[in-house]
Amino acid sequence: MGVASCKKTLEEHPESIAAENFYKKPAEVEAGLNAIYTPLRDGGGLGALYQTQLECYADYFYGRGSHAVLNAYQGLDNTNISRVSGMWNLFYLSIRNANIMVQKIPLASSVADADKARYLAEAKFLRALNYFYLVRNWAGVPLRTETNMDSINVKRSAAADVYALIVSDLQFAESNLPDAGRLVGAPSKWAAKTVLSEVYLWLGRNGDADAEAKAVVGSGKFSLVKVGAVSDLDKLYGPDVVSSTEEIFYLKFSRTTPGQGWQYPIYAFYPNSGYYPPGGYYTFYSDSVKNKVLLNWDRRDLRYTYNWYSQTFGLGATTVLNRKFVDRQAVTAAGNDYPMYRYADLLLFYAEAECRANNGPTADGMEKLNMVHRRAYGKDPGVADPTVDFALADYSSSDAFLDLVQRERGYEDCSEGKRWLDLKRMGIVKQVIQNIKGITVADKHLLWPIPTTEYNYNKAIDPAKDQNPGY
Amino acid sequence: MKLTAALLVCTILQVNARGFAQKVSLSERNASPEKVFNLIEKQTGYKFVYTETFLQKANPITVHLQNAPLDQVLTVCFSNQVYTWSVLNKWIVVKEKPQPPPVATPEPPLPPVDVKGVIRDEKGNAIQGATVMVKGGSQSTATTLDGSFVLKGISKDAVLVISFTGYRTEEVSLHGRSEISLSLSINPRSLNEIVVIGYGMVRKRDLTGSVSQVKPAEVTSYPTNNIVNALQGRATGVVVQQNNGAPGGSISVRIRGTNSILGGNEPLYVIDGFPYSGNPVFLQNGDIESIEILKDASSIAIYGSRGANGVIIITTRSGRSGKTLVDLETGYSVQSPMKYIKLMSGQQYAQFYNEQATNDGVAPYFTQQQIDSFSKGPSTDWQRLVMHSAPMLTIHLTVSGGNDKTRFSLSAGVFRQDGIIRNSDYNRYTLRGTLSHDISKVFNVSYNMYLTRLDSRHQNSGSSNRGADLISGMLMAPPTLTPYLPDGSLRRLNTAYSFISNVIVNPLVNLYRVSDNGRSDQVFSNAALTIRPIKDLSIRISGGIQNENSRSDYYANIEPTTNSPGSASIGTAQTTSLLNENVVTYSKSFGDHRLSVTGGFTYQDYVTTTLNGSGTGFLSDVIQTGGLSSAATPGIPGSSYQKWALLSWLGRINYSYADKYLATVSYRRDGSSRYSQGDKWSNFPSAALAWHMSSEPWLKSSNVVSDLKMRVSYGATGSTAVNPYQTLNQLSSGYTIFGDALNTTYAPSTVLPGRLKWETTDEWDAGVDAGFLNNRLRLTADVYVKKTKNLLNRVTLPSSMGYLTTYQNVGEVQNKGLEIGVESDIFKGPVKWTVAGNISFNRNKVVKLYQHQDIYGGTIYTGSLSDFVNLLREGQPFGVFYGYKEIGYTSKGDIQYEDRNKDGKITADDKTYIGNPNPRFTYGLSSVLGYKGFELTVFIQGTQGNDTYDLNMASSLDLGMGLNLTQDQFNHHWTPANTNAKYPRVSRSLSGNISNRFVEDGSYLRCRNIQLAYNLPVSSWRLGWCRSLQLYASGQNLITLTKYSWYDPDINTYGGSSSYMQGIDYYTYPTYKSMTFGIRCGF
Repeated sequence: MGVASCKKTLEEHPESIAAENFYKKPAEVEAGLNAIYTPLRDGGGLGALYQTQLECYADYFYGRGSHAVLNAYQGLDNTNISRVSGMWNLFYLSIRNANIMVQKIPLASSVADADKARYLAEAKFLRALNYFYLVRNWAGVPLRTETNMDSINVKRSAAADVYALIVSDLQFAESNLPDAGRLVGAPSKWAAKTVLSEVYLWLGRNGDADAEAKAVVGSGKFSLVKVGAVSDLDKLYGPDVVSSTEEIFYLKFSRTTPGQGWQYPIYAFYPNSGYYPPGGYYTFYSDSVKNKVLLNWDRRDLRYTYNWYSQTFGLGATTVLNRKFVDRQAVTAAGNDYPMYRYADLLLFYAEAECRANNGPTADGMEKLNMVHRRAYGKDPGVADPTVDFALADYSSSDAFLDLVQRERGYEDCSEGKRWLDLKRMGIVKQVIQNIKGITVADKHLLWPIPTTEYNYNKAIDPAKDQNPGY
Repeated sequence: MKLTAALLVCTILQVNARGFAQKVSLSERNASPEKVFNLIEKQTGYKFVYTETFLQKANPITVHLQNAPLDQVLTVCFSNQVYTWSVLNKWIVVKEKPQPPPVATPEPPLPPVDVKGVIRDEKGNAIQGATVMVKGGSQSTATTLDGSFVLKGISKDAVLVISFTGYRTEEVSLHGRSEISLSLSINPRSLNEIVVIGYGMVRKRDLTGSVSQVKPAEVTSYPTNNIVNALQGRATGVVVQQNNGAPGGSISVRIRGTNSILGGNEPLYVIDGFPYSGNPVFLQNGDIESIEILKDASSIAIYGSRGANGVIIITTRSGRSGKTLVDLETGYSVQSPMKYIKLMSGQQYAQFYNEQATNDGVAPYFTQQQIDSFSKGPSTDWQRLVMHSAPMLTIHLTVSGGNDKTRFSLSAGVFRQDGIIRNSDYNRYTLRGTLSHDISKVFNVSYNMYLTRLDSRHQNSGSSNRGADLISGMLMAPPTLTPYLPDGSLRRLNTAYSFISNVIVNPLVNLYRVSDNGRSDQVFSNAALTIRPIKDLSIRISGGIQNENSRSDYYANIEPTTNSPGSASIGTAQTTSLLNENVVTYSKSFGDHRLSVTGGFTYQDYVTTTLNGSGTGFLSDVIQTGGLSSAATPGIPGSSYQKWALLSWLGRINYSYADKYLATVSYRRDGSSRYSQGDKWSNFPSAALAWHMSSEPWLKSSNVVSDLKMRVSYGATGSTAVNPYQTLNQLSSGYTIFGDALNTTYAPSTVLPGRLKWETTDEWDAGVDAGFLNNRLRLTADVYVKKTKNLLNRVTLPSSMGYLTTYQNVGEVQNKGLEIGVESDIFKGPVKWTVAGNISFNRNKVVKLYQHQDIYGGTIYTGSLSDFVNLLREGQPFGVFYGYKEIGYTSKGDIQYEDRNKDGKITADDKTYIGNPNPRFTYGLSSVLGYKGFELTVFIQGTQGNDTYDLNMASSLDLGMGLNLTQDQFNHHWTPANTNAKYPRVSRSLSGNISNRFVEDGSYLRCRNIQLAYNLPVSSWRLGWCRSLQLYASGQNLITLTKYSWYDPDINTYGGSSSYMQGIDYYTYPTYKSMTFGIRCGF
């Protein structure tokens, strides 16, 4: 047997695709872009555990079982540290997939330049989004881009540097993304502007936040879904909604394909509640009387009835569980989408940014807030209704108005995993938790620890110096 | 020359030695016959042949003769013996004096005939000196130089018995023939064993390496679902551990310790010359002819890149010429759980959780009235609802025979085992045939074929937490609850109490509402053409196919208590391995030199494809896995493809001088498709020397040392630790949703591909084989040092890279050890007692890891704990347990951990070594005691000094979940009145850690088998159609001495080929004990 034939015998011919020959054609580039979403939608991240974690932190929820320590507000125990480590991994896996695309798209031989720009913009949008999640929960993190993605040791960047990348990526995205996303669930330029407006709010660049939000409102691309009765809210959150006029950027899920459903609802429900056939862990719960947020929540607000149902399991007769993301036909996981950015969010960003940028509430800002509020009472969002509208006169100070925005956002985004970060951004987290739950939030509870799987192997990070306080 | 009873079962025709010229001078008083015979042998060159029985019955000899003829000397020597003698060629055969003829009326004699014939060995060479005798008669003769013999005047329908040392005794019925021709086959069971080694065979006395043999009787002595299980405790240096007790459950085998971190640590199985990929579950114990375990590098280097973990050579039975033999073995066993864990009763459970409620400041869960009612009614015993006594049945039938040209063996086997967990079983059916035919003196063809059907119902021991799987559900389900509701439906447990685990599932759901079946059809087939163009040269060209088609069917019924809408999945796998081997062997003796040269070229490939489908949401359970397309939500089908190929050149030279000095040199060069370009090829050399000291004149005459051989060897072997394609930059595909539609994704996996090459193991071995007192005491001892380098390390990357790990060849692991095997025939004669023992010490150390980076075993999540247990760290034994040390309780009854770095906090930096799963030594002890037809066999086996991590007890710290716990915890937990307690206070806010609390001594001594057999005296019944008949009763695992508190220390939940999670017991299918009754007979 000749040497050549031996050589051939030992060559490997896997029936799979090698990275070197891929990312050339549009369909290949799109398959690479699609892979950026997979880690985000994972059950260890925004597929379930991320929202579960953050909702246990919220003023209107209590955690149960292994999540109980979260609403002690004294930092994380080992179980929860490993949960957030898992989230870190997923965000960075998504970032890696985005970096690969940022690197490969310019080299794609069979893709037109115009398409390259919008593909690149999508990759950068998603990279920014991942860093935005990281920076809000961990502050500074190692900054990995297409230029240093293969380096093992990368130092922890300051939060400001992370934000700088987020802003520059999103700015690229808003100028290069199309008017409508590549697919339902892929970002449009308006999605980039919406995220950017929230990023600017975090950075205190209120004028910029205002401008971005205003541009989205002015585009006329979005509108609030009209609601007449409680059940109509299903048109926003229900499992059968493919898309709506309110959708700016959602993570999309499907119940009909195994592994592609949203797992988050199982943490909300009680088994055999009828709302969710796969069962339930009732990991977070509340109390309609003992919790002040719920106690003070206007029962005429359709959102209250939509959100809460009574379920006792030994903690008293007024225990309630959340049913916002109900899917009565779910088989293994839910068909509901994760509404990461809804038009209602954008309207409330706008209201807040207007107030902050102008050092006081504006009529337009109040109108946008009232649109969200009216809808929640079954009214036409576009038509002023004195029976439910807030009057600007009653909230004329910045503090009063921002408090109103904060409360409205709490009702509107209940169970969406946004509450804790809002309170943190507004700097009122300790005050609100003290007020509602009577607990002093420990400083270490405000940030998550950098995982051991990072600093054990990334020699540019010194756990003694670079770890978040308290860990 | 001393021969065993195997040769002389018979009387031999007396041939007068008068007239032989040799003169002998002897002057001995009351000397042992052995001594006298020795002196005669030295003076005359004649050799004595006698049975052991003779030595026991013989009287001392007194003889004073000078220059007397041999026959005169012999006459004197035998004058006061009950034995007499005869001379055949140069042999002096000792036999019993003829008894007075029986009183029975003699049958009318048939007209006598003269018979002549030729006796050859397997290779067709003439055998000189084979004994040919008439069965039940007095005539016998021995074959001459050309293997021929003549017997005159014997009965026409006589049966001839032909025997020769080291070969199987054959019986041939004449049926009127006057000429016969017969080939004797080597009998590996005889004392003068032939040992099967890689690509050849050697006489045991010529062995230069370290090879253990396991006899077929040991493999079939008690029923096992895997022949490898039967090796446990039988051979030095071999540790067999079951991963769980499930029928057909997997096992881990380690030969001389653990070498590899990521690669397999399982030995290579070579079945009838075919290097088999995987564990040979398809074999029936009854088909085994012999098992050889190659341990040192000189023996295994011929298997090169696949030998590093040792090689187990399994030879299946083949036919032999002569009378057609029928062997039937059958056994029936009743298995039962080895023990039940003592769990809390209903009343205790209620009291315990009320105590938790009180401690945690919530209202009691149970009223006093309820507690009282629990004390009256029986508690639910979930263990007995799940486990039961279960039967096991083995039937094995072999028919073998042949003539001088063609030999065959056919067998059929059935192995049926029901598990001690209900609704689980393992069934194996096999059909097997072997055929060997001599086309001419030059050409031989042989073929063997094994067909196996495996069929199994699994009960998953899923090792999940808080009662979510069958085993933890069985242990944790509240004893206060009945399994069924009054309407007959199963009770839902996770809402039964406000404080109960939200994942607990009624174990009967898993037992009766979920089916998980596997079946596989395996074909294992070999054919070979052997050419002997000249006398000393043999060319063997062989081809083999290993093929397996397997399918698993999983169906979870529509079940409200688990919200199951009915879900089905089917997985199929098709595996084919093709082998071609071309081996040339040349053997030549000249003078005192003996030389044997083997060279060859082999090719093997292995292709696996899989296909699977699933569906969720069915209208009826009737469909099971029969209609995936009717699922409300059909799953996405999946498939995969994998192939590897291995090309090898091999060579070996065996040389011996004067039967005293032996040398072996071997070499193999392997090319594997799995490695990076440029690193595909590697060389594996070895060398060994042995010195037969007992053949030296100065030891030859020793009365104490009858056999002594020193061996030393060195060699390099390899391990193909990586999976195919691991060095390539592959993208994996997946799906994501946009809108409501599936869209394809492509991205690299989280493993960064690296440039990889072989793992190599260098091994030194020194050994001694010795026999004392005429080999009544036999000893083999070996010391070895093994160093495995270029170990493939899983290198953890910072998780911010997106890649979590990569692989690099950087690690080093060392194993060194000592193995001693002793065997002794304590009594021979009417009472026969043979005792054999073995003990193996292995010390294992991780020498080098990538950048001194620790490697953690996988994280285990118990609900309340989430951490790893095993650690690989430089300087430490493999997989040492790593965790926190407890130092008692706080004043409140919480567990206190040692703050080892004194920083005032309990962090991962306070972890330390808390146990070692590697045994200090393992041992086996067997005893066979025979008297008349009775035979008592006891087999004991054990390990000493290994720790077991009893993670079953993790639930003892998980007190907010309403899990049932042990009575021990009920009785011995912390209360203000009992602060020196075994368990902490009962509180749901208790925080636990992976700590020394769960480390238990996993040493055990087990009576693995005890058997009483009775061999019916069928030969005295003169039935003709029945050769042997044995009835036996035996018990397996009846006695286990251990301090371990859970079901069984011989469990390794996460064990497997490449696992470095070792010694952990976590909700695993329990092991069984059994009673077996059976029959073994031959016709």
